[in-house]
Amino acid sequence: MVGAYLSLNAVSIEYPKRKAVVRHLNLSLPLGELTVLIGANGAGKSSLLRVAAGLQKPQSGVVCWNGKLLKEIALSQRARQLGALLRSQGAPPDMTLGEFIALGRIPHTGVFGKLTAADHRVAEQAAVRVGIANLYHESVHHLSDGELRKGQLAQLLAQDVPFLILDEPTTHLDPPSGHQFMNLLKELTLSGKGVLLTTHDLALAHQFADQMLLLHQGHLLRGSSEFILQQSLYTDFMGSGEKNM
Amino acid sequence: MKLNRLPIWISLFALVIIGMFLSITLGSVAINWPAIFEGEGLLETEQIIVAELRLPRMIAALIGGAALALAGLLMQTLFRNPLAGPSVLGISSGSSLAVAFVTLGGGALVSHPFLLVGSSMVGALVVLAIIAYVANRFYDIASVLIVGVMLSFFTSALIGVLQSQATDQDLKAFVIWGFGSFGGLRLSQLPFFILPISFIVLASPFLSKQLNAYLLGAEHAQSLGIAVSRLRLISILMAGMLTAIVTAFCGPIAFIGLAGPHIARIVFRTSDHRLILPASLLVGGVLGLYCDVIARMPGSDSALPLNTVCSFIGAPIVIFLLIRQRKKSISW
Repeated sequence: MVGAYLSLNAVSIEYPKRKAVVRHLNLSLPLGELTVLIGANGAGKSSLLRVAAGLQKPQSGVVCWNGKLLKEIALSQRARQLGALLRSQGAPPDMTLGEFIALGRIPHTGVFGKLTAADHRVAEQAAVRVGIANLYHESVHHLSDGELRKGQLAQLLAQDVPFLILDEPTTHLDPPSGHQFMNLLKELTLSGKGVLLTTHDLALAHQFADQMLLLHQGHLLRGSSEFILQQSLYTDFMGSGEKNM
Repeated sequence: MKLNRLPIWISLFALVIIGMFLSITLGSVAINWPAIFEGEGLLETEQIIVAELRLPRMIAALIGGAALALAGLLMQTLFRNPLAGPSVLGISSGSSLAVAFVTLGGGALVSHPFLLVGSSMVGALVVLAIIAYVANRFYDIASVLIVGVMLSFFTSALIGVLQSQATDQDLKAFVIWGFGSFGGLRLSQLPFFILPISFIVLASPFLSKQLNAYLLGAEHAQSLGIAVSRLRLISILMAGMLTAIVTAFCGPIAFIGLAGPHIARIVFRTSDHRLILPASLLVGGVLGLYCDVIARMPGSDSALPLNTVCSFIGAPIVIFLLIRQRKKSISW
């Protein structure tokens, strides 16, 4: 997987009766880097993430994984390369946290979804890594929002993919947990995985991002966290009370 | 704490065996069973009652109950709605409308044994075709649900018109069909009932993994490698066919499909389809068998409507299990 990357080439995202969210975007996201995407509400961050994850078709342009068109990679193969933690997840199903985390192993299982001892081990290790091993046999319905968020991250870790895409992953987390969460994502990039995430917590973004992106009025600005935060001062994003630094 | 599920499986299988035994042995006519062990055998009329009436009825209750519970489980997972059931897509209503046309439109035609079954199947399949078309066109699954409910209202309205114009005798025949019964199936009809249901039931474990992913939502399921549109279409077709077949042979039976998956989930304390799918089949079979035995009112000349008995028994069971579970502070 050395040299693998996710790239968006001339991607445009539009919605009917709205201005284009993104116009002719070119973006390359290599492994081993934590990229943070910021922007005001409604700027199109989530749409961009869905397109990058192959869950939404762009109006024009293509998304490539490792040089291959993403849409031409079979869904089952894709799920072993790209993992997504999006905000669209509804109420959690009726199951224990362990079973919930183990759902992340689905792309690695056979036709009946039977989990092997190795799959269970991966799920348990993911729970330990996120710090929720003590809740492993609890019903997910007994978890707080923050604990459930950690469970979702553990599920994503259990999916064991080289590239992770996360939409506002630190929502519902208290500041120490948010910090711990970002620290874990940073560790993942140091071990060679790629991470693309959105957040409104600029302090965390500044602390952990290798590369930052600012999405503003259909255009994407890229650079170091200092540069992007400086630029964001000139947009309505920072002027609307969302300044966290 | 980990739950040991083996005793639950054993209990369910035991309930099925006991239910099958009761279904064969109990009825309005007392069979002289000891005669078999005394070497005399059953009388000819007793043999006919057992082979021609009770055996098909037992099989219909077991397989029909299981099929409805499976259809209910598929619908509840697909629509992410615990109140969804086999009747929610309007398929039962489609059957009812077709049967209403036959029974209320021309009573004399009802004398043909396959006419009710055939018309019911045609009605169900017409609605199923509409639903499959809608499911294929709309990405939003809630829209499919709304179309199904609207079709139910529409067909109910048409049935109302037919009922208002019908004679008392035809109306009675239609109302009796609407009560639901596992007793209408003849031995010669059994293959038409068993084979398609068995085929769908045997295919259903192939969906377990995909349905588990779907529990996390359509978008997340897709990110786990599931072809969501195909899963929806296959699930709707499977649930629709199961409902259509059972309704065609046994009338509209609503409650088992709703309660079966709930009871399975509460008892097994999980939504994992690798467990809940076979568990729902067993619970549905148990509900079918026991509700049918009670509806027959063994030892008496009269009988109760199956749908009434299903609701009488199923509703308190679901409420009792739910309350007991809440007391133990175990969520589902």
